[in-house]
Amino acid sequence: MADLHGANGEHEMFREALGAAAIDALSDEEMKSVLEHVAHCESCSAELSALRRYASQLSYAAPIEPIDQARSDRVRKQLIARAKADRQPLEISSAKLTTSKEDIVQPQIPKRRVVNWVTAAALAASVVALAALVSERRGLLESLDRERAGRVSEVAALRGELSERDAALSTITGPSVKVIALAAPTARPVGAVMFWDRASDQWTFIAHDLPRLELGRTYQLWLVLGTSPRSIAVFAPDALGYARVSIRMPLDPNARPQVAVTDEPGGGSTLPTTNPIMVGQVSG
Amino acid sequence: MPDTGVVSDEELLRRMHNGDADSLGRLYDRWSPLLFPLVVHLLTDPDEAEDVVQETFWQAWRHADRYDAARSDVAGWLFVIARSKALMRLRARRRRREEPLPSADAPELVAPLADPAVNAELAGRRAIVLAALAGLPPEQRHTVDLAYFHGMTQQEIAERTGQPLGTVKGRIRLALEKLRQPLAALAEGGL
Ligand SMILES: [Zn+2]
Repeated sequence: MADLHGANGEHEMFREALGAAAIDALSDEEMKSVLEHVAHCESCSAELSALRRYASQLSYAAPIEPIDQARSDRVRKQLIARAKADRQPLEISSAKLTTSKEDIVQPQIPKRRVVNWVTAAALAASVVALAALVSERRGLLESLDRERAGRVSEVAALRGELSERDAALSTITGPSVKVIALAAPTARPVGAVMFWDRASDQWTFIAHDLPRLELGRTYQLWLVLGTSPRSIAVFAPDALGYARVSIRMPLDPNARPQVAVTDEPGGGSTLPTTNPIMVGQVSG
Repeated sequence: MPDTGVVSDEELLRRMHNGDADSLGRLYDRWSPLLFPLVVHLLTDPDEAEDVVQETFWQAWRHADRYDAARSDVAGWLFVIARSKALMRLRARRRRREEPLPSADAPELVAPLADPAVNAELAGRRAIVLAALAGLPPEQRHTVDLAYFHGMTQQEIAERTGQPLGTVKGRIRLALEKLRQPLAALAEGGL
């Protein structure tokens, strides 16, 4: 039975590669074919799981190098802030979004406002559109997960390029940092945090699970003082919805700005033209 | 925030799943001292390592429910996430030819005494893994080092060391066979 013999030869060949697979020492292509075999070979599947389980213990032997404590503390702080923002999406009340007259410090806005976007009503209107985006997003993530399992290089390349940009960006820490959690007006589909270091005028924005926008559209980040939106940056999340923006921008340390994200035409707008996808305000 | 060590990693994940951000902090305090060096060592870029560590814990936060105790302990799960994220970046870089492979005479795994900041259990596990690695013939140990801690593929190791690919494959296979017993015992929770 040639078929059986062939299948068995294949099995033996892949069997021998499982150790290398467990420690990720295969090329993408090799890994892909090994995983294809493993998917329909119970014995190899069990063996690969066992190998991975114990091979992961090798990490305990990672060379111990001194960690930059400030760096580690910064990551911890950002994680906690992101996690808190992630689980409290409905803290943004309509009251917070309505600016009081005393707050209006900068009246240099054109009279013709395209959208009266800083209102609770506008936020409510965006919920439906956002829900649609989120379900689309889920599909994308699932397909990305599948691709990931096959270690398709596109995601890796995107990640790599993103990190390159990120590496050039400085981040922030210290007692002068204000944390602004941004939330979407619906139950936690997306979330973001802005860190404002009032001592160094450094602003760092981190968002996750952002839906992919339509072609020709871009995300735009705004700082709103009183009723005056100031564009901070246009940005695009990576394939997994992660984005980080870091800029230096002086602002009165006592200011209580709002931070908002909108979906704008490519290149961005001078004033927001759509309802914000996420908003947040400096508290206390 | 002192970690009394009373709460298990699994319990921390359960709490994280229920929205407790402080438990994420505790998990971070427990495992970031090990994840940071692992990732820095792979990527050799502290800024990128910072991103990977942050994304690793973020994934643990978002997908705490995906942890499967039957497949690994929590630390092993975190290692796998961190390592795969780091490798994706590393290999993307190498594909673009921006990243030289580490030299073949990359430093051997050494056994520095555990950092006092690292807790006793960690030090114990570390000692077991280092002992297991020390029991390998030098060429096997070196091959595992290049693959696991420098993120090189078999092919890359062969090119870099000038050894035939078949030899490299054989070394990895033999090394993992020898590591199986001590590491599997560790993975099953034995110390
Ligand atoms: Zn098989």
